[in-house]
Amino acid sequence: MELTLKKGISQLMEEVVNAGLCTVCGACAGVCPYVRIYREKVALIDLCGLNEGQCYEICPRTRTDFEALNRNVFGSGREDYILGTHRRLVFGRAADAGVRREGQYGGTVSALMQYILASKRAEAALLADRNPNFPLLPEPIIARTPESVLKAAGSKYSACPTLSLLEKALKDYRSVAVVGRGCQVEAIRKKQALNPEANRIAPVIGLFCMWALDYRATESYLAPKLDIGCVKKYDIPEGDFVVYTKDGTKRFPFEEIKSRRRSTCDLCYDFTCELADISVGSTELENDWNTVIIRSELGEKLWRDSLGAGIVEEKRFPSSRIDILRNAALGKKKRAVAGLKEKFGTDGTAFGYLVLSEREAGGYK
Amino acid sequence: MNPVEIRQPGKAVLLMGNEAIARGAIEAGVAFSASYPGSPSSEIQETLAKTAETFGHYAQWSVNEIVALEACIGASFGGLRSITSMKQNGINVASDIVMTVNLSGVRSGVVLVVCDDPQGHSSTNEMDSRPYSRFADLPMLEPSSAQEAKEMTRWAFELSEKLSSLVIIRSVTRISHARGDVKLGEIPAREIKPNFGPNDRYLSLPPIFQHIKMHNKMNQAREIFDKSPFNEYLGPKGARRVIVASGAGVVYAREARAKLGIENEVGMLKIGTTWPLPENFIKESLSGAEEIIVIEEIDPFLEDNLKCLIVDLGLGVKKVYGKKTGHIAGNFGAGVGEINPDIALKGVSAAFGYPIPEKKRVQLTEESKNIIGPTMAYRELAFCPGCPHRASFWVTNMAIKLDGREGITMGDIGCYSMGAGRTGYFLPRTMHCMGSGIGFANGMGQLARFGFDKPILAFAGDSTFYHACLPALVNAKYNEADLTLVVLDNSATSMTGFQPNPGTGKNALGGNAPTIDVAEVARGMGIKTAVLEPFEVEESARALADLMQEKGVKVVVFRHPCALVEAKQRKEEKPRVVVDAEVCIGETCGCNRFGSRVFGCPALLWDAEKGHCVIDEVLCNRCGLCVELCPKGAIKLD
Repeated sequence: MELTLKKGISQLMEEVVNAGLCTVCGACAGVCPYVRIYREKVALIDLCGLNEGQCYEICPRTRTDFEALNRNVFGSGREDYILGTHRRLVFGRAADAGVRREGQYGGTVSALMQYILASKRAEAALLADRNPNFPLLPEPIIARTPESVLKAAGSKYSACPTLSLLEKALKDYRSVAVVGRGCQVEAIRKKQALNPEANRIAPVIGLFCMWALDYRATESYLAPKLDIGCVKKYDIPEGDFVVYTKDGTKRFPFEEIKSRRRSTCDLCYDFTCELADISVGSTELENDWNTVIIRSELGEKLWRDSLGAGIVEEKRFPSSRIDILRNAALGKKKRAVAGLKEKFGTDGTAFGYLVLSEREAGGYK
Repeated sequence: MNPVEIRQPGKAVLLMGNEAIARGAIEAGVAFSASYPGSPSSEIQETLAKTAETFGHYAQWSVNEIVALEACIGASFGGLRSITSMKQNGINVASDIVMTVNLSGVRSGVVLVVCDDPQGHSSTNEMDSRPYSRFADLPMLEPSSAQEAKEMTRWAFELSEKLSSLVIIRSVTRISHARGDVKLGEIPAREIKPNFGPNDRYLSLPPIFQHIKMHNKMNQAREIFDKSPFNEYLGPKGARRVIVASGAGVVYAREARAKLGIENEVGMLKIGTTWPLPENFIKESLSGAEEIIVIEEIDPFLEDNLKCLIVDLGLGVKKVYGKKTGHIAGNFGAGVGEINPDIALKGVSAAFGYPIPEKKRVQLTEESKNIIGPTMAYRELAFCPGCPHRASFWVTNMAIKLDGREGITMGDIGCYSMGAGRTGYFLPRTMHCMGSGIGFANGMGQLARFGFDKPILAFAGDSTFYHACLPALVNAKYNEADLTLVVLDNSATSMTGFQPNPGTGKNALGGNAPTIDVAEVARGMGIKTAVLEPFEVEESARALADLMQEKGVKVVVFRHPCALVEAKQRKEEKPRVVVDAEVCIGETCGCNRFGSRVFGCPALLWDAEKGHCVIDEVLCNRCGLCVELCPKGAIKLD
């Protein structure tokens, strides 16, 4: 394993964590015995004494070359730099209405993960569940059964450090499927580029992600307004932030909640999780369907098999929606690049952590 | 058979100083004893507890020294001879009653034995307890051998009854812990018949009149001490030079006199009744003295009081050598650290101008030095292998890092005091007396109102919790301090030798006792309390960090039995713990020698030649915690 960035935990703390760039993907905590994530914040227990390490190398907020990673994953360059390399766009959903009810929108992710485990495509699945004691706080789990997948179903709107369990999962199981946000999939792909051993992480299901809430900021916003201990679940359907508690439902204005997002998310380039095998998000149109982007060969096969097994259903992606999706993705990219330029300036085609090909940096004109 | 139990008057047996003190009490017909353990005093009560059944007296381990002393005084009011023993810190805890019972007086004999720890070998302070006798106007005796320790203790009860006063015996480590031949005395037959008459009253009031009475008792004591066999003058009458010594200093002085060959010229005055001083006896003994040197442990207490007497009595002494002149001083200076025969010898030689004869000491050859040298491994002050405190400190360290606000930890007194060093990751930031950790936290835990944002934690052992934390915990709850009390409940008072405490379900006599659960006590105060297993490191660290996020008082009880207690009770052998040298990748791991350096268990070593971790199987207690913690999984159960 040849590290290329030649930096370690102290630079990671300085350049990423303390600089407010951390996405709480959990990757560094997964590879280091001294890094933990507590309430969505990186904590350093002791020093490893090494000057360079995987922690820095695989962080999605250290130098990340999208073009190189893309070639590594798909064997080709980024012909579509807005939605990323993909084969097909469909509307998809879980065939089982029960799964749809538990899951987000069409429940596609839950259905796929259940199928992956049931069909032994992976021995274990890394997912975001909820902390039973702190319902606002997502908690990573290693799921082995369709039941535990279903239990963890549904969106969590803050940054679950799922990858903090990655190394443990790889130690204990031959193959590990992961559901992650764009930043997390980038970390996985960086890890795979570094070490082919990590190719046992498959398949990787990506989630559309505009931003994640900052748990601590959200909690301190909500704490005076309701009894945090009574919270059962929360959601952001149609422009409201809705908290379901034992005593009923409480609604909060979307903008108030949005302002509690992690600032690093504004510097994220990757709305549709472009390096995943399959990416899944909302349709912004039909509540019991998902937008599904099938990207890799592995993803294609998984989708077809799932269709064949009657696990998922699909329908045509309405052509009228394509521009809306593309504009959303492009808008995020533009905001990220502008934000990065403002914060870090530019160095050729590098904007802070983000490294693009010349073509992509120039917007493919 | 316990030698303390032998009923053959005149027979000489080998006894530890503390055992001799217990035997002295038994020969005085003691009926009641109560104590809180503390080095170097603990063996006194241990011996009294072990012999309780044989002699029919009562013994208890009390929660602290003031309760122990008050219990003894209570028993005395009820007509029972009683004894309490404590270390020097203990008399500070007990001082409140010391400073009032001196006024009221006692009924049956009550003896307080305080054992000082010069050099602070196993203490958080170095302190001379003798000023208490002068401060409180209480008679004090200072034994210089095991034999004398027994005799003084026996006699102290008579004295206490004669004066109706508490009597203090001051010992030091080298008297309490040294063994010597002790000629046994008779054990009296006695019937214990408690009574308290309808008109019996013991009050410190009115203070003025009681104060006058107290001074009269001192005068009476002075007269008694003038005739006491514990004071002795040796050597030529009217000697120009006299060595004055008390306690362990007596032995050193005797040796110095012999080594210098000056027994025929230089006198020696041994003082066994340190307060009040036997004025007439001293006047007589120093009748021709022009120069004296005073040899005593810790402070120049005898020295200063003698200087007063020299003026008061108009003695002809022109020069007093000792601590003030720097003649009785060790490597760290006068009045600091333990004295020894060498210090006394050099002091007397320098003060009186007698050269030290050439020693005929056996010199080590180079060869023998080489043999001895490398076998003497350096051992750091550390928790035992398998000690739950190491786990609890690591968990607390993790929780503080998880929390991320630079939490501050207040230390306290017990085995876990060692945690102030590397073995406890330097966590305790304060270390004073029993209960001071939670006490300080009561202050620091109020500073949020002034913008201080670091979370405050306080450590306490289970025994310390009962001893001195309860009022502070009530105070914290009542005044709504923000703090987390971390109770290290190893179900033992380990530092002093595994005496039972209110949490252990056993009493001093070996019988079953009600268990007072730390967590239940805290919950009873309405305090949010969690009982955690420190060996479940990740879960416990997160649980502690979670509690640290909350305002107000929280209590965390880390419950895991002391490794030494557990090892003693272990029925089946545990599997060996081994390092898989194939898996341990040494310096490339990124764990930075977690086992041997960071976690720091003495049984985890670093093999510098082979570049991996190894286990010292002689030390390893097979607790298995490192098996869980090694990030590579290189440590395994065999």
